[in-house]
Amino acid sequence: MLNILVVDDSLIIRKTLTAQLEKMGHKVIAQAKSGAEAIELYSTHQPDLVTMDISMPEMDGIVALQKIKTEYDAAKIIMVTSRGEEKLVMESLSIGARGYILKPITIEKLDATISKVYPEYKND
Amino acid sequence: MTNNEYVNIVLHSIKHEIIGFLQNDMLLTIQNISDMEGSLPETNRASIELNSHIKFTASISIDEELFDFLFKKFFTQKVEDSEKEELDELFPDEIINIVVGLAIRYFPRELGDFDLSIPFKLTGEKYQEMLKNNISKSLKISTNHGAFVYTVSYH
Repeated sequence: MLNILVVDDSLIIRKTLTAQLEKMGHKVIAQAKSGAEAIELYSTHQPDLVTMDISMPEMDGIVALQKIKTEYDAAKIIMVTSRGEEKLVMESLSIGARGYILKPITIEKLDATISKVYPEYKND
Repeated sequence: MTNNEYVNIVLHSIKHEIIGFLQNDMLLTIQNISDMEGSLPETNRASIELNSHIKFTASISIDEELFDFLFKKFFTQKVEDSEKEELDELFPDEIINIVVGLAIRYFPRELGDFDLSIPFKLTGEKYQEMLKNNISKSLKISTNHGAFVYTVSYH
């Protein structure tokens, strides 16, 4: 079981993602609505994994990713996006994101992405 | 390229994503796709602006049967009564954000880089005014669990 921090400004995505991760046997230890909240919650909980929305008002996911990685080099963060823009995804990966998921999020997509970061958690 | 052609490109790029979303992610069967005349139904409506050096507004409407089906697919766990109203209100916004956000990658480069607005509700007179003042085209996508209608307007 992984302890996961879910970061998304959309209540719908936070709820559905939490339900899907819990169904997969993981624990969502906290949810953040913005990049700034994500940084704060990361340092409080030091989760095994973060799902980070790329586009959020105030502080977006790329800035939050950068700040978390600067302080916690080993942080494992996967990006979530509904934008088809490869540029943002490539930028995230170059900063240190471990993968990305295109919305709508499904358990299959989550499993495929998480298992690349943690192969021992692949669902059969 | 004419304004009409711009609208067609955006309309069909979004169609591609809506079909992918309904068929591949929600496992629905697409039964029919047709042009739609007249204004978008008020049911479960959301709009979003696409801004580059030109501007479009996309609006969607999801009929009740399809809305219920999609809602149940997204929320597999029990939704509390206290949250239901808020989620009902936000759900079309999330759907338009997903399908239009993903469609941008199919727009031709000459249309520039697009920014998406936050989804909003465009209803009543404001919606009619937008249709009257702009080139607009609509499509209806019918599935085995209800219909999805959307409009693209060029400003």
